[in-house]
Amino acid sequence: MNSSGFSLIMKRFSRHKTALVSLILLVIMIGAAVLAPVVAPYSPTRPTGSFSAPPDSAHWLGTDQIGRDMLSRLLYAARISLLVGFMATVISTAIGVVLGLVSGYFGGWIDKMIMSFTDMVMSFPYILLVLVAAAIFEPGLWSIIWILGFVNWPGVTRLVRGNVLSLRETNFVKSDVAAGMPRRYILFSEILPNTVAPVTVYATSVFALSILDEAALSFLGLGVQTPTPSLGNILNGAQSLTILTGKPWLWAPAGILIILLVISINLVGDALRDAIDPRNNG
Amino acid sequence: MAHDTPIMEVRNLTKHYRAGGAGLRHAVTKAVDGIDLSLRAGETFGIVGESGCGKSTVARLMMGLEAPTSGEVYFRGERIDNMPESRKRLLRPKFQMVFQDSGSSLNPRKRVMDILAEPMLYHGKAGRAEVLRRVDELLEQVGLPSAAKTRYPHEFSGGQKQRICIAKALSLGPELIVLDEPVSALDVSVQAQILNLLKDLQEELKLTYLFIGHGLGAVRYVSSRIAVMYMGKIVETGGADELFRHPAHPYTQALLDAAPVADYSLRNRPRIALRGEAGGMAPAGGCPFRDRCPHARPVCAEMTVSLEPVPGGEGRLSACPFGR
Repeated sequence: MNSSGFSLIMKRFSRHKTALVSLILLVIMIGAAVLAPVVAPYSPTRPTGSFSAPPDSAHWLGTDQIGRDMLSRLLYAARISLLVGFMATVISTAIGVVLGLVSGYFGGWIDKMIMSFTDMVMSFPYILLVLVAAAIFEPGLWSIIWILGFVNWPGVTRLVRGNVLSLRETNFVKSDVAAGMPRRYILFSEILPNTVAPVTVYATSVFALSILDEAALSFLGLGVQTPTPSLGNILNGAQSLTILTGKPWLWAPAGILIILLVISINLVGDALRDAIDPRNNG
Repeated sequence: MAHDTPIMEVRNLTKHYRAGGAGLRHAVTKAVDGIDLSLRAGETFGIVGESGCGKSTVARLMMGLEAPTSGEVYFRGERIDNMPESRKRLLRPKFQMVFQDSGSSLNPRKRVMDILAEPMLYHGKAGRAEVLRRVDELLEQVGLPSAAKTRYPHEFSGGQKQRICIAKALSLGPELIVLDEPVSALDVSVQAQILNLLKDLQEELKLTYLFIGHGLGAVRYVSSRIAVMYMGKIVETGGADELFRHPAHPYTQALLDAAPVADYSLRNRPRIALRGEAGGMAPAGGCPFRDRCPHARPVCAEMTVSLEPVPGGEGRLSACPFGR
């Protein structure tokens, strides 16, 4: 049967025990986040208890400074953070793949132009970019998605371009040229499918990075704005020493969730890299 | 088509590469340096030479995978090296190529049937309805079972992959196939199978081959005419048997002497052993082979080298005036 396909990748993937655990954790976290409206006990934006109450049987993770249920806020926050991470990854991957394909395949002045633009974006301190962008656009969910999407594509572009350059020299592409096959066929039927695997792996790290970036920006107040909860702006509420030392339920769960998400995604990405590599046979 | 029109012809074909490096800014590697070739319909023309002599570059130039620095390439009398790709695309099915490394000649993510069918569909060599039958036919022609079509390239051995590559080259109904060291990467026993397959296919389909190799045995086995290349130039050309029996150029002699011989009584025959390696820079002016040639004389550094008929050599040409 098709042994280079999905089943073989799954077989190789399942040999990484930590990655398997990560994948299960990730599925649970994503599942809980997606189903937040169903599983959350309270509204994430309306006060339902006393202020900054410690965890009890009604509010498992306590309440925040204005009496909102922390568990519900956390579930909705994970939802927002995953959405930001996912959309930012989709945007940067799309931009990166298109520019990388064009740059690598056509070469010449197009390549030079795209690559200098890529280097420019890469060398630009993105916090500055975000500050400027936040000053121009209204900070919020979609501006943070677009900003992060625009910050992370250069890595994808470089990866795809490098791949295209080496694929262009392979004999199967040369034999297509010799067979008079059109450019669009060579680009989309021969080269693109062979870059999907490395791009997917790279995208997982962009995903993790975007979640971290969202948390950092929202923590600084430049990202997702309250009352919409995100993992970053939950941490934003925990800036004073009294809260840090005396009320850990206000920040520890969000912090732990960020760590778990990022580690899981990275471990899954690493295992995927090994599983997809055809040199790891068997 | 006139019988005497060569199927493919190159005139004064030249390819120079700019050698990189800051200090060598203007250094030029003459990969192919003014070559004339003419392939007759139905023959197998062999090109031999050491690694780096430019023989594969000749193949790529003829196939239009690279643009020549100067010179012309003709297919059936029509000049193709400067033809726009949109027009050339329609001619390309007529001349196909098989590469040395069969492993990288097949897209690892495609099944054999997709690899074979897609070019045929694009060029209208087969419709959707009949293309699978045509794939079966091609697989049978190259000696593979029909079940191979649903498999992926990595499931095959080197020899089988080369058969798939040959099937792919055949799929568009070519008149000429350029074989760039098609068996060099294979086991000796598999080499023989592939060479025999190529010979059978040639007979069956009236193909013309340009066979490029560095193994003299294989080239001699399939070729009717041969050109010997050294540092981008043809140093000797002529009928295969004649050339192998009485080499006129010291380089041809040396290549022959370097090949192992099964006959034990010939073990201690007088031989020319080559010193050094081809590649790098040819000595400026004169004969490019003179610094490795056992018969080199002072005049070799001064003379203009050109291919001249060998006396009594039945149309054979040699670049060495002192040929024996």
